[in-house]
Amino acid sequence: HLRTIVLLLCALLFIIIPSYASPSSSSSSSTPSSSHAPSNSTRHTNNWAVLVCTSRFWFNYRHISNVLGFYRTVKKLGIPDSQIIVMLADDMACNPRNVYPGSIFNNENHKLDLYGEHVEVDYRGYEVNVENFIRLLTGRHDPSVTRSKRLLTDERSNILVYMTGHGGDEFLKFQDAEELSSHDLADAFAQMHSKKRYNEILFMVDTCQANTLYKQFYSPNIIAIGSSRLGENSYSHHSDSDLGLSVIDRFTYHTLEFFENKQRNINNVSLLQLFKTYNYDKLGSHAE
Amino acid sequence: MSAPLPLYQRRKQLRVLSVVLFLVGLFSLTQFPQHAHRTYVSENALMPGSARVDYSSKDLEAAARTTHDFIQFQKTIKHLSGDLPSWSRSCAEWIVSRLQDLNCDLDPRIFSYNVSLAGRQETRYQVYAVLKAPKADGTESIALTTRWHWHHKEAANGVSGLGLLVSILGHLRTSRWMAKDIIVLISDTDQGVRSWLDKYHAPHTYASSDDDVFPRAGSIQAAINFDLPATSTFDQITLSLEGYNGQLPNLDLTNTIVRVARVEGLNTDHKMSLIAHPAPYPFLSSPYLPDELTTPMMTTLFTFMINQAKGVPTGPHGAFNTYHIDAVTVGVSPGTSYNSVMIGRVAVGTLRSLNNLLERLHQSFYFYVLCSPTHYLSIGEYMIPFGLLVAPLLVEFLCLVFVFADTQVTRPRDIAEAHMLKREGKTVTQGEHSMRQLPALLSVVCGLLFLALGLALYVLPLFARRLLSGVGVLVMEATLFPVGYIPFGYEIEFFLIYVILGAIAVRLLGSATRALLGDLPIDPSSFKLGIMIPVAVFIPCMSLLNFSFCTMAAAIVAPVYSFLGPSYNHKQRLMQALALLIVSPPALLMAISYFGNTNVPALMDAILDQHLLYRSLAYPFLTLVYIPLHLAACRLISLSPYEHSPTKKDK
Repeated sequence: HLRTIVLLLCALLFIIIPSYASPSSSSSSSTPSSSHAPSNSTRHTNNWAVLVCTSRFWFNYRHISNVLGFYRTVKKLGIPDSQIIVMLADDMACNPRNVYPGSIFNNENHKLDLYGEHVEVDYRGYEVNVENFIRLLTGRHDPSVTRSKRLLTDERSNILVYMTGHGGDEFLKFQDAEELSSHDLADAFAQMHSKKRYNEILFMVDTCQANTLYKQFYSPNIIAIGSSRLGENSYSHHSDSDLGLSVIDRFTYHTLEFFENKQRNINNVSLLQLFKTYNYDKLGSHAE
Repeated sequence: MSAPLPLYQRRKQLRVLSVVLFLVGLFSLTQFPQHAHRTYVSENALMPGSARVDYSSKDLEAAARTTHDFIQFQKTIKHLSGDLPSWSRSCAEWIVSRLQDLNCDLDPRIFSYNVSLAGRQETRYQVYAVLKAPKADGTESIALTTRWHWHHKEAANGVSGLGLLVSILGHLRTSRWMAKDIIVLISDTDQGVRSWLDKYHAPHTYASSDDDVFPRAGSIQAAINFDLPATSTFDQITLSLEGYNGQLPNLDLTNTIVRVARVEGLNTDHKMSLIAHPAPYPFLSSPYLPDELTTPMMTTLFTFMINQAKGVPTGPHGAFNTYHIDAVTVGVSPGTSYNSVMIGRVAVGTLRSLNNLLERLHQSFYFYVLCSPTHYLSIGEYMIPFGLLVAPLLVEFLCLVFVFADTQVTRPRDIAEAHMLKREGKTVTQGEHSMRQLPALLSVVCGLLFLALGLALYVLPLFARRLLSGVGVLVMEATLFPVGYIPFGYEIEFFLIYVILGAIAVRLLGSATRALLGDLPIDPSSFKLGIMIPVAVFIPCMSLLNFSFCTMAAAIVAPVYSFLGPSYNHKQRLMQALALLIVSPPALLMAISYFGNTNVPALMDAILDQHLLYRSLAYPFLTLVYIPLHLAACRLISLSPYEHSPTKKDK
């Protein structure tokens, strides 16, 4: 009997000790760090980004360019492609209505082509749906899903989740066919918390009545900001008379502008500074 | 019985109520412009006016050049003016060569079709071409159509529809935003569009030779027809919407054109109109009408409703409606406010907007009335006055139905009594109600016999048209000499013909009635029910198809026919007879031909033709419903009130 007990204890030790080893991932350079308690910052080792555009069709061009603008900024500030998940619901660059075939712009000066080389889109077209999004967050994939489509985060990952499209009171519309409700999103984050898949989450959403989408969150360490309150619309920034539609939304435009200006001294930037740049006059809505 | 009277027995109050409702309905028709809403674009994909239009004066010069060259060419083939098919063919060939010069990929084709004009069949030719969008998959297209005319008034730098389309094709050659193919159809008559469309949508097999090739471009999402006089400046843009039998295109198409015009700088409140020039119904602006009825919005509204009621399309765009393709005709009225380049810009801007569509227009209204290109009333609003106008008819109809049902019901008391008597071994006598059952039922059938007359009237001219028109011509010529000299001779003649034929018909039906009823007395209220069934079914149901026509029909039928009936009072009978005289079919036809500047035989011919071509409602209404109704009403008021059963419960 004593022998069995000793063997069991050794087995337990072999199981428990490896679980204390910290998973190693590639470290990254700085991203805007949040102003939080020092105890958390020691655990943070890597950054991920999940950028989701949920709407298709030509007249929703600006949602695609929102996400691609964020993608470019996030990559420039240091998160590598292997740690960015981009979900684009439609292909605007090759839409026959595009007078600049193969290019996507988010400014009417057309100086910056967001769809140049080295753009890795992980979920495209009809793969962008509610089921895939929740599977992505919770990590519950079919075994055949490739690594590039998985969110391989751990409890030391800070994740930026940016979503844009058409939304309303506590929902976000996916592809004109289904909706993601705020409850499902809150539960997904809760699963992520219990599975220790994140350290902190920065959740940004640019849709109409966006603030309602994060109302149901109940997991810790999530900062959420939406572009407009319940009953408010989020407006586009400007339209491009060559393309014949709006190319970027105001909330996204001001966010990206903030980061363009802060490139040099990015290490000392705080979220509070970012949030302070939003005001009603610029956006036409209350970003909170 | 001490119970209160059932509703249908309060006839008098109901009649007063329905007359009040009718008058309210008439009044509310004049209030439409005040309650009209401003239009808005329902389809988000359209985004009208948000793209810059590059159609410039360079393209306008190309348009003017083409127009000028074509007019010069037409002068050289003047000698063919007697032979329309060859003339048509030469013009078509010239246009084909011009399009080929424009673009080698265009592959313009000549499509020949048969048109029957003035009784003969002729072959005509039209040109069509498909401009393929290089990046698109060719499953959808937008159609642009226009007509060429005999003679164009030559104006310096004038731009006709032909010139405009050729310049648009040249402009689109270099544009990179096309997601749908563009079909261009240049025809010489309005029927050409119809035949082309029929062939386009007909089942087809692969072409066996190059001549059989009929280039197609997938399903046509929308069509715009241009009807431009060759002017270099214009005053107003006119939109014509009405199609076959008053069917309308989706309101978003109008909204798009209006908004694009506004972005291009046109004052859409004053310089955009729904009334073609010259105004088709000058009597709407006559000084005899009160001021409130001659405002621009009221005139537009009435013109719109009359056009819709006639059921004749206001342009070749009507043919597209049968294939559920939204189409409008864009025209201009001469003037000096704007340069013709604006038409090109509006056209290209609209094309770009329609290009953004992902599916056919379906968000906005299909049933509406317009007081101006920017003010509309939807079906939910304009049906209310219609309902009020039909009120007398329907109220009376329902009362008659209840009366009839009452005669058919055997009261439970009678049944119980009969059983009791049977058990006691006594004989059973028929109850009071059952004595009226059979005559009432048969009277309804007699009323429906007039429907059979209507069916015969409807079908006969379709089969025996030649014979009937031959007879008609014979009668006209035989009576030409004496009748022409008598004042109102022709009008009296029409009346006489109608009275004679009507009397024969009523006689025949009378003997059928006699055969059915035998000795039983005819029940006037059930008879009236029978004759009202066709009209009470036709007008409300057809109002969904052609609201304006049924409104006008209701405005005539409801006040006159609702309260007719046999009566003791001679004065009442005289008034009823007078009313029936005023709205008799000959009188109505004469009134319409007077306002339409035509004569009655031509009008009748036109009504039949329009029904065969466009399925307009005038012919079925006249033959199936109205003439039998009128004859039956004459029969009804000639019935003696004593002919019904002794009880006067239904009075």
